[in-house]
Amino acid sequence: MGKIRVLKKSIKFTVRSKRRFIVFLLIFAIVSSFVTFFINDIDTLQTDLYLEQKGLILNQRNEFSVFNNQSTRLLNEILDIKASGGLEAVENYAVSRYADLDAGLRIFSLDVKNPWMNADVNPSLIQQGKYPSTANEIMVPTGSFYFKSTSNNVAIKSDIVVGQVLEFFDGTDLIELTVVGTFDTSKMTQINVDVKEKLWIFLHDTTYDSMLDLYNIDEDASYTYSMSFVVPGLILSETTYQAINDLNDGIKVILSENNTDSYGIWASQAEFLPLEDSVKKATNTLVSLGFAVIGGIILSIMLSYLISRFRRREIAVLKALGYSNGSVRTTLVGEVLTTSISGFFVGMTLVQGILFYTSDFKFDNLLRWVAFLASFGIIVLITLPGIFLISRKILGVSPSEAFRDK
Amino acid sequence: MSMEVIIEAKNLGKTYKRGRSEVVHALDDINLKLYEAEMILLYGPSGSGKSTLLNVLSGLDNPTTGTIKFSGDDITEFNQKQLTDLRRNDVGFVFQAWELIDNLTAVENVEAPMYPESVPSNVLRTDAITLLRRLDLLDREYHYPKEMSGGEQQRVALARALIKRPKVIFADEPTGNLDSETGHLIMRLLKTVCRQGTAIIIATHDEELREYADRIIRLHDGKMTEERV
Ligand SMILES: Nc1ncnc2c1ncn2[C@@H]1O[C@H](COP(=O)(O)OP(=O)(O)OP(=O)(O)O)[C@@H](O)[C@H]1O
Ligand SMILES: [Mg+2]
Repeated sequence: MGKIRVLKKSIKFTVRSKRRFIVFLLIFAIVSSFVTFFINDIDTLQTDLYLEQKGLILNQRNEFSVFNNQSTRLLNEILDIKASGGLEAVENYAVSRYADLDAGLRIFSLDVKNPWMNADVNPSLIQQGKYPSTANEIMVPTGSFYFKSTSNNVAIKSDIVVGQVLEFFDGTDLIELTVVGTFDTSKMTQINVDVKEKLWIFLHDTTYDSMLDLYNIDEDASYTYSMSFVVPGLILSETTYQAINDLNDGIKVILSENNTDSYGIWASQAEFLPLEDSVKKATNTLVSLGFAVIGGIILSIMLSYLISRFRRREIAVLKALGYSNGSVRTTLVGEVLTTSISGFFVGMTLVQGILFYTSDFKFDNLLRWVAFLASFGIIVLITLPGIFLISRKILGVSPSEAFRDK
Repeated sequence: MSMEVIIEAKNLGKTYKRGRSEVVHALDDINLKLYEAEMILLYGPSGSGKSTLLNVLSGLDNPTTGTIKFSGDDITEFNQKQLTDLRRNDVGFVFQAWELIDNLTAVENVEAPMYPESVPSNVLRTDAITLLRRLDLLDREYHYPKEMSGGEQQRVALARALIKRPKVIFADEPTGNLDSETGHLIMRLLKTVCRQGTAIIIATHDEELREYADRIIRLHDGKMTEERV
């Protein structure tokens, strides 16, 4: 109970010495924002590189459609491929399908649990709102659409915006879909975006099937435009790279057997980024992070040094008043942590703000929790050397110093 | 009625090395008994060893030779933890420059020694306020040190020393930074505290304060002589 009160008071009194507190808080905020920024970079690197480094994408060739039953057959073959170690080559996969429900409506399936596995429409394309995460959330391309009627050539042009609810009703069943995001089609490479004569809806796998049911569309009228596979292992590792090569070779063998009838016709595999390039990209960010961390460590040591040097007398007085080394440590460490953690929150808010105003995509793509927690952990780690220094210095202060002449 | 002995020092010596070869005898063969409810004034020119004696008797510093019995226990044999406990429980300090903590209010300064203890905060607050009122600091509870006069700050410091109900208070020139009138006020308060049972040792230069002493000890180059009053 006593220790907790010492800590609570320490926090309270730290905040009270406004000038000292604010100066160090701001310095910590700057360091924290750098750390947070680079951590966020590493975090997005992780997702950006996810498919590049761990994944293989198999795309439909534009002029040929791959039927659902063909892709399912091929998928089963690919899942049987073993890597050189004899283990399963595929750790995870996603199948992207599409179907024309009528002349004015095309739906695309999304594996919302693995958004980064979709070769063409991943969360980085989001312009407004967010990537769908539940069964009745959908996203659509940014811009207007022509709703074409089936019977004649008249079309209605309209915008679809985030927040809008689309209802599909066949007289008995109702499917209600909410637009949660719009995305930029110009960066898509696989889906042909020339004609906007249809409304495009990107939705959850299971809702995709419900929509086929609602429109009474046969499974055979649903096509697969892309499949992506992810191999086990860490990104940027040599073994993962080897596994990708194994998987690639395996797929080539299957597709070269001239089984176009049973598997459909697929485009040749895109090249994947050379390992060295990705490593270089990652290293640059890591080096920057390293500098930020070193800066932070220097700062925390500086603050701790200032405290233990210029407030030596206060330490001596506390000891004379009967504080144990531990209680003095709690008091001073509380001060350092209060300053650094408050600084962290200020810095983080700063980064959030910068991300918010500079990035095209909003909400979901601000700092992720992982990045937030990692940055927080690093800031706490950064203060450890300072805390260690303070603890050492405290031992060297004799309570009798309180009696010495100033 | 016999008074209980609180501190009994025998053959105390303290030497400091200065430079390579010079040895300073800050204390030389000090023998001293301090009884409960007794006030000792410690006189001596600058450098005579007054502060050193206070440090040694209160366990802040170790003597080079001799023993110090504090309530019967020899504190020269104490380890770090026992010495901390002694400061926690049995001794209070009053310093020449008060040494209040700047960013704590008067009442918080008084409470500070008790923060690590398991006394409920509301009990502690009541106690601290009662002490401040007893020292005539009504309405000063929530002032910061820099908003108070020297005499007021020294009274806060005295309340801080008293909050633990120590057996002994060590005061090093408690009136050294105060004008004569305020100095007497502080001495009267110390005297009251003393009459209620706390032993007090005060190091001072001020001969005007003789009248408050039960006993006077004079130090000269580390050697003591006792003077009846
Ligand atoms: N830490 C130390 N190291 C070396 N010498 C010391 C130390 N502390 C005190 N001395 C010496 O011991 C002697 C006694 O010092 P002390 O501070 O006890 O004197 P004092 O009577 O309190 O003087 P003042 O009235 O100026 O406060 C002095 O000669 C001083 O220089
Ligand atoms: Mg002195």
